[in-house]
Amino acid sequence: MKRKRLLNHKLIAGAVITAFVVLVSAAGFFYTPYDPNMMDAASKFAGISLKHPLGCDNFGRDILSRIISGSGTTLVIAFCTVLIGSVGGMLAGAVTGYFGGAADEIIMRFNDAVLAFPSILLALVFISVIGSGKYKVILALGIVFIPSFARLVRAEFIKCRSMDYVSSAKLMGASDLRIMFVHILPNTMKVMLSSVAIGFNNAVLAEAGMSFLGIGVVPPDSSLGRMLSEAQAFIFVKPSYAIFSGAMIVLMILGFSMLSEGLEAL
Amino acid sequence: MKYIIRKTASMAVTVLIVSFLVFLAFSVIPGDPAVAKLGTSATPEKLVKLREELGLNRPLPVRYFEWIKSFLFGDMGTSYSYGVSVRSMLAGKLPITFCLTGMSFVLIIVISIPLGISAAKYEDTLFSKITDVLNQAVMAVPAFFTGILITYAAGLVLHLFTPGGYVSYRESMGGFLYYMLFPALAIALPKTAMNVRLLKSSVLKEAKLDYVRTAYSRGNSTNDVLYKHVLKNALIPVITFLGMTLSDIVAGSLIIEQVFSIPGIGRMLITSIGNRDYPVVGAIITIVAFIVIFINYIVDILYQVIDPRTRRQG
Amino acid sequence: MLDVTDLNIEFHDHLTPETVVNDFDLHMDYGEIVGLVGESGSGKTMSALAIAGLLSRKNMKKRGRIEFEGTDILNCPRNELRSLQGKDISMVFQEPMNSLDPLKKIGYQVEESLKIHTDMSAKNRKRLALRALSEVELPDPKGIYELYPHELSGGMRQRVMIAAAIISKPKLLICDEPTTALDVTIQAQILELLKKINKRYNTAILFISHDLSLVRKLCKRVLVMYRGNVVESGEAEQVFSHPEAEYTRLLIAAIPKFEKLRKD
Repeated sequence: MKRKRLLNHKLIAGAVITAFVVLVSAAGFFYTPYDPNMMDAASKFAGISLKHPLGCDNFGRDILSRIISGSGTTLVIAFCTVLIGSVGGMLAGAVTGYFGGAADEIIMRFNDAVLAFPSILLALVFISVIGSGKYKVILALGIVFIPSFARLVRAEFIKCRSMDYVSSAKLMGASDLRIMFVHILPNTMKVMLSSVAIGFNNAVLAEAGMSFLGIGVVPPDSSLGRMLSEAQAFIFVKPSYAIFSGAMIVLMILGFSMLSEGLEAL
Repeated sequence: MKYIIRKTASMAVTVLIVSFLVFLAFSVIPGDPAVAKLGTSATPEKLVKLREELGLNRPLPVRYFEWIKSFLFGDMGTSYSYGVSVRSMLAGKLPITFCLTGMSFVLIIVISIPLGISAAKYEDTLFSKITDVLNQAVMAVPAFFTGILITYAAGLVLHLFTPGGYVSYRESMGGFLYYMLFPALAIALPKTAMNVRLLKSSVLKEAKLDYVRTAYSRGNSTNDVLYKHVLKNALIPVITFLGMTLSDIVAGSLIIEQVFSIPGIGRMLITSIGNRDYPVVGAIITIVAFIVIFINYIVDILYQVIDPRTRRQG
Repeated sequence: MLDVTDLNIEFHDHLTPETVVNDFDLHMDYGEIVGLVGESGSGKTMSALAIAGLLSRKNMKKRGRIEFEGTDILNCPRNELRSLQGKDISMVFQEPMNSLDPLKKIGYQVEESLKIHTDMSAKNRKRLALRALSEVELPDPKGIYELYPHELSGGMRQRVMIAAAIISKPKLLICDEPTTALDVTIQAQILELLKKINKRYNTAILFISHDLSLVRKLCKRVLVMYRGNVVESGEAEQVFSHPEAEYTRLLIAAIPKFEKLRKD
């Protein structure tokens, strides 16, 4: 029999890429080589140089600085989105899974209907009603992500609620709330972990897609998706802008998806 | 048969729920269409009169059934921004988006199924390892970035097509299809990579099962075992995935239209969201939602055809 | 008919090679029923799979000779091996639940070996398949022909497996724990069925089981395996009444009392 390895190469590669991306974007909150929004007509479309490692865009803004700060925005949005989605999903899944009954039936039917739709489409519905901007994107995506987490947590709760340790906790007089959050919830962490990673993956993808369409973040905020759509306009003169900001998105998605696969294989 | 009836009923229920939500989202929450039409400076008397004309003073369920009834008969309301019927706005654009979705779906199937089978068949060879790495990489590139890369590589470097030079199907069908090939490829690539991976692991999983040994014990060759037994079993999860993918690429084509300047419903949706043109947004979302529901319905039915185990649990 | 000499099987999927079958010898004549007994992991299934030519060629080293009617099963080309499989050598497996393709009708699976080895017409194949299904005493062969595996019980599926295995009248039928997954009454019925088939077609049967009492009911000769080695072999009655190896004694002692009482 092959023993399961504690670490696998996907987990390691995913962790390394994710750590790199997170560190770069976190550093960007404190230091970027230039002000990402500082325009400088003199260095319009400047090429790659020591002064501007990735060159400058149509307004003479330093591309490296913009990518670093854009990554930060994208990651913060992804983080908040996953936070809303996972906490909301956990609560909904815990309550419906633990108590069951008609409410559970109705909520899950609704859930399944929602899950059949591509998340970006649902986010578009929200955005078109509440308008765009960083916080609205977070709100829209966060709500859209709740059902998938809820389904997962609910399944774990249904599995756990009939287990021996839950019955014994009940016999000892533990309250429902205590059983749900002290006894069962920690057991869902393993599945949650890999879905949180894939949640980040989806959030980055959705935010980038929406900002690319111009209905995500609005200036002065700048995210990777928004930069990609800006860059597309002058891809003739400056392909490196599009390629580098796109590459950053790819790196994020690669990191999170490999991390998720690695965690799942544990 | 019983199953089909049950599925049809459940599809109808989903259509009702989803359309009601869309109705709520676009006809009720955004505010008063009478105000939108007349502007905030309109006198209250005028507003009341217009509300009566538009039927806005009736109870919500009545308004919903009126709305869904006229929607199903093709009357999707009037655009706030352009004052023309939504139907006439959509008429020329739906086929473009459908064509894009259809082409990318065909591309996904045509590329991924042979590739997935070979990757499983030649497992542990260099070919299989290269596909593994490629899959992981291609999966991580979102369709809109793939689109930009294709624009750059195929359009600006290799001059295979003119970026932004959309050719209407009314002008030249061949030119239209050729131009659409590139955005279709952009949508298809990430999904193809995912499907290759799924099919490969599914074939390898099936190949370990006992019935495969039975098939060998009867004198089947490796190819016969693969094509007569394993493949059909291995395709079951792939069908689920392709169903999900199909609704994903409908959404994906909305984005890709933006990259390749294709005048489909995607671009209209984005413009209308910007203009807060709710009748148009609502109509597009409803149409896409109905398509997604219908795809799921077809996938459920397909399951029945392929897997006898699901058939008799009527 | 079948001569196995010095068969050795080693696994090479770990750092250190692992011997699962060590110097296995077996001779079988036409129409003979031989039992192969041992606990799980004793190498009996591996030996049987090797004889049936079903061991994969990866991660594994095989030495020795398996000769079936003059064909060297271990070293002959694949197509030569395939022309024997399902025609002269057939196999029935332990798990009737998983041994049939879930997406193919019973009829297809029963007549598959005819399809591979003969150019019989579809009509004739169906005729033979129906006959095989009634030969294994399944009720309503015509109905069952059109069913899918999940619509049958475990015992019925095992009968289907046997029908599929005997349809081309093989010279050697290898049964790997064919009754282990079934309940006791069905076990007895399957044993009776195997006896009948042996008599009717003079089919040699290699019967593999961990259950010595079953083997005693069916087989004339028996081999006892333990950790890859044959520790005892001979006439079934002889082995049963005067076991020589310590391990055989333990196996016999492990048979529930009432079984022994009934036999003695």
